[in-house]
Amino acid sequence: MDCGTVRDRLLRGARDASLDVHLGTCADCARFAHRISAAREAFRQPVVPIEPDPGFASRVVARLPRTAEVLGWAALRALPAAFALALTLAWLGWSQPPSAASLLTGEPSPEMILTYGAFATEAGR
Amino acid sequence: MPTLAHAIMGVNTIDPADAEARLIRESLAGDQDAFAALVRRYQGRVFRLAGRFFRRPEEVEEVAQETFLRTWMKLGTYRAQAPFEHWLTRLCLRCAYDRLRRSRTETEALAQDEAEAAATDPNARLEVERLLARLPAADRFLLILLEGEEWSVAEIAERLGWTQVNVKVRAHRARKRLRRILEEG
Repeated sequence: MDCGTVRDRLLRGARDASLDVHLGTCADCARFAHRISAAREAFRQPVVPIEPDPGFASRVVARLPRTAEVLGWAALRALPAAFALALTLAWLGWSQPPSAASLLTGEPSPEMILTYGAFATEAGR
Repeated sequence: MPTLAHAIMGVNTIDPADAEARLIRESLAGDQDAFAALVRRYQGRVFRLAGRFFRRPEEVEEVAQETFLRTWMKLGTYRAQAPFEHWLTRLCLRCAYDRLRRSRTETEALAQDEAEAAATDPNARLEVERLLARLPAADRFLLILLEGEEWSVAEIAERLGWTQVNVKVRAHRARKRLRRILEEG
């Protein structure tokens, strides 16, 4: 078994007789095995073994936002979406074609003359 | 009507699961005493988990406080399909991960200080700590969950809201970097 395979297996947490044979003859892999086992132990140990003191819950409660603040934040977060919706609705309103009634009553607007004039010219070609 | 937070100060004959559900309901209704009781119930677990990622006690406290503040803000989104502890653990992990990413420079500077201090110590454990201090924060985060907490890929994915493929890829990269560091050191 080559060193690469041995280290891959050690990294995956494997340990058997064939690995032990290799580790008995290869000092580099034995050192790697020792380090990986120490690393695992380090990962298992809490870095800061501290317990919360009795006042912890009170400190959390003292920082809790009131309901109005929570609603305020929610409203603030919804602001971009509301703005986008307003823009979309405004755009839809502007891009609506004129109703049939508005076309039949009253004088045509300059924009309408320009638009339909262009159509007529295009159709006449 | 006495709230559960008051009731548990007296004789407690309530089923723990029911008690928890009531505390959540009362917290959702804005009862801060009920929420304090919920905090006391899980603060040990949150401190223990946060303590795996941060060295300074004030950082652990800060992450724990942030976790419970987010809990208060997001409690309405808890659907009780999974145990409350899992949901809380997810928030705690997110807080820890966010802080690790935010204060990456600071954390790495601290790790470097500790690495230099450990470099002169003959103790093998300290030598490995010195090597592990060179791991990127995100790799260390994931390896602690895999090796320290002994969570499966599926558990990590579920608790972090990542896909299993994402966890596998990150774990593979983290192990590769760990291997390189342990070989070079």
